[in-house]
Amino acid sequence: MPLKVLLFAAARQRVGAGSVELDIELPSTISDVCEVLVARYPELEGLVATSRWAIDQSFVDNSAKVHGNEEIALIPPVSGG
Amino acid sequence: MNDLKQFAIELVRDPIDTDRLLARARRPNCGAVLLFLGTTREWTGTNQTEFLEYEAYESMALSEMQKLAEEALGRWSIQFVSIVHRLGRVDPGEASVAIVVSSAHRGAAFQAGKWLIDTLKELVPIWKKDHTASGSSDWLHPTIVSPKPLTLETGMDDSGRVISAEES
Repeated sequence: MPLKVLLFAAARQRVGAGSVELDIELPSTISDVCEVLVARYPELEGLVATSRWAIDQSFVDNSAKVHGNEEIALIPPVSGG
Repeated sequence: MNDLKQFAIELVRDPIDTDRLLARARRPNCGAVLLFLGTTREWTGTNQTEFLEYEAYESMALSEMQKLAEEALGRWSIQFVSIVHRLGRVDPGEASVAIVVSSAHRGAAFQAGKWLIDTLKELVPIWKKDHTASGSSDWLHPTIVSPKPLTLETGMDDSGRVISAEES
């Protein structure tokens, strides 16, 4: 089942898209999503290591569960302001 | 005593209108109105910035900024908070972010204002891209490397964090 992940800033630029669709078994955890994302897009490896994740616009830790009906976003280190 | 607490949160793509922000912030029960502007700085060590470009995860940036305003209003004796962040191109000297705090007395405004900008820079999903005078452009994704003082050439900002530019 394809899982959509939103990408921003350097992640969006490296992949060339504002979102990607991952082939992943659901439900899974954010840790699983990280593995699948980096396997599919190895250019994101360093960035994923220092990034946080958000599910439905709230920060989560890597043990958070993903069912497939949420908005998932990779949040690289922020630099606003 | 009128204890009504309000906030105003915005993402904009035009130059930040500080006159409008300040007009909205004045209240008869407030003796202090504090305005902080974060502006594009041209030089960081030997790196010359031609302009900064800001991108946001907009829905989450707005909700995180609202959470900051609500928390500040709860923690300090302040009456009004406004947070405005600009997206897109911001030239040297122009403001990318404005924070306004109104309070009865200035002590709370200064404390809340500092906390708001410090915390925005840690939590809000907004990113800046440095378009340099030499033609390169890098998204800035700062990771905390060391609390030890570093030289200007390594691009340390005034919070002590090392800015490591992602090659893009």
